[in-house]
Amino acid sequence: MERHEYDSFDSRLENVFRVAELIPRFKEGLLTFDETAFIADWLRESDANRRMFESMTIRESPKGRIEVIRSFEVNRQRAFQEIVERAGIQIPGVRRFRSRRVAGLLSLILVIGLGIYMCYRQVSSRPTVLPVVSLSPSKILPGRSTATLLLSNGQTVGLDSAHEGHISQQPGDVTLTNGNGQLSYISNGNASGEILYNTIVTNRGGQYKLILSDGTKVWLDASSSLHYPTTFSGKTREVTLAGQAYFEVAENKSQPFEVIVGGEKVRVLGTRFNIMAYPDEKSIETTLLQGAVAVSSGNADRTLHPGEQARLSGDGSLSVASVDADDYVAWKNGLIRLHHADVAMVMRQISRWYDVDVRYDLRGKVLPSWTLAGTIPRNTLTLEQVFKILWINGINCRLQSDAGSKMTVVVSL
Amino acid sequence: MSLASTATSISDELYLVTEFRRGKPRAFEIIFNKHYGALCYFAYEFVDDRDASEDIVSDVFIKLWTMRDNFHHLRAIKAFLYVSVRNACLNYLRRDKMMEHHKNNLVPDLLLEEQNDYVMTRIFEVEVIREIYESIEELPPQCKRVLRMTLQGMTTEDIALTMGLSKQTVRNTRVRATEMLRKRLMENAAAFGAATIILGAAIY
Repeated sequence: MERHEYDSFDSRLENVFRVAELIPRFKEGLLTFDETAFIADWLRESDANRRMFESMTIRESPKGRIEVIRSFEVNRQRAFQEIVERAGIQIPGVRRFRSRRVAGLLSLILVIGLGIYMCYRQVSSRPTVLPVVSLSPSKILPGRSTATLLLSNGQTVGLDSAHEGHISQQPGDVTLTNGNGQLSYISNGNASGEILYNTIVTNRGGQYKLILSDGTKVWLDASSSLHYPTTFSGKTREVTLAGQAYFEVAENKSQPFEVIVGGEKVRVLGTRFNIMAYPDEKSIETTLLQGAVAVSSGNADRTLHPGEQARLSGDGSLSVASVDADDYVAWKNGLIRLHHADVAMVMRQISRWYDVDVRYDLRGKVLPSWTLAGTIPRNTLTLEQVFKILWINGINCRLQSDAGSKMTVVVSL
Repeated sequence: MSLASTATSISDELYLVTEFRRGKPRAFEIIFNKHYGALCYFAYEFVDDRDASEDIVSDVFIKLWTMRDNFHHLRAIKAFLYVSVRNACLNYLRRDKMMEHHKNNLVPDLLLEEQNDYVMTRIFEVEVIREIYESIEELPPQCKRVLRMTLQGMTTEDIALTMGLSKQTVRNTRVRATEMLRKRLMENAAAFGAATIILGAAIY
């Protein structure tokens, strides 16, 4: 067929699809104004359109034809298997939904053998409906800006949009304000002798931003805490971190900034860096974007350059590697970035951000050894939407409420 | 599987297509599952041969897979599928013109213009039926069975006998089924505007 004929056929066809989609709603009287206008325009275009429309709305009830489709559906799975074989479609060993790096992951490619093929067949012979949900994961919203502030006198203040404005504490050498997901410390210049310490804590599903009295900005991720003085006096500016935070340190060469985390001390010189130190992850990762940091732990000392990451693992060994630093900070911009993330790690991230527990229902099967790499926009997706993404990648999740109302995600394969 | 029918949001479809373009077998399977039955039926109406229909459709899906880079929207994929199946059917018919079986099939003889209208109508009908089929498949088992049998033309009494239910239960189940379908249709609105105009009466 000539190219131009194909094009006009093609655009007619697109409209046909749109109208066909609307027919069931038309029959129920559920069309919106715009949809009705669209159909009216389409009907005006040609006799053929009008005849088509009439044939499916006035005269016809589909009845027997649905059964014909069903009769072909019987062979559908077998047909798909044949296509997979004929087209040589590889069952992936590493499932990606956005790939940035190939090197190093080849070790995870599973052997394409009968075993894996059978495993994949197992997957595709499951009835293709969405995972059954006992609860609606569409109700589970992503995390938001919420945290708790623990003042030096033991008082706690809930930080969220309900508590905006000044927060006072004595002595008053800083002004403390809370608003828009951000807690700011502004020095009044009346330095008193006493040093006060505050702690900010986020739970699962929370995050917060902090501006310390020296101007250093800190973004705190879920399930994290930062312990710090309200004003910095002394030879160094020292804070203590648990969990994950991204720092943009205000420059002050005469007073180096230090972060104590786990067994590590990170000394910085006017920089931007991220520290990930969750107790349930296997190492503490310090990633440098800009400036210079020195990471020390026990006897080990390493200096990082931008684009490098120091990893301190449980056995105390400290290593440095080059990474794409932006990937490790993406969380502050609302993206869950996964690198070599196995299923368990993906679920831990989801657990922290959506405030759910995770349980595995594997029925004797082993968690796959393939890993995921990719991006999940975490501010905008509900848990249901994340479930869909995981489902496409072979991970089945459903939501359940155990006795005591804790929401649990049950993961099966 | 009806990823697009549980929520016909544009982002769901775009995500599916993006994953498909990147060669994710699972996304391909979803697209395949969604259209296989309807395309076979569509081909069957041309060639009148079940095995040939299935072969034609399988070949087209393989072609789709190898050309997956070219598609940015689900509608473009659908258009490709239907047009390719149509072309393959016409080739099949031309080849087998001499067979007694197909002597009466006039489709290849139609002018291009008339062919297009004819094909367009077939596609339209199949797509409408597919949508209905898909939505019925999502119903809970009892509702699904009752509705299927109803659409096949069975009387309430026959359905009641077949399923071992009372006639009233059958009627109630049918009402529940159509209500669920209707509810699902309402949730799928969002693609166009906001105000609603009631048009026509329910025909189910």
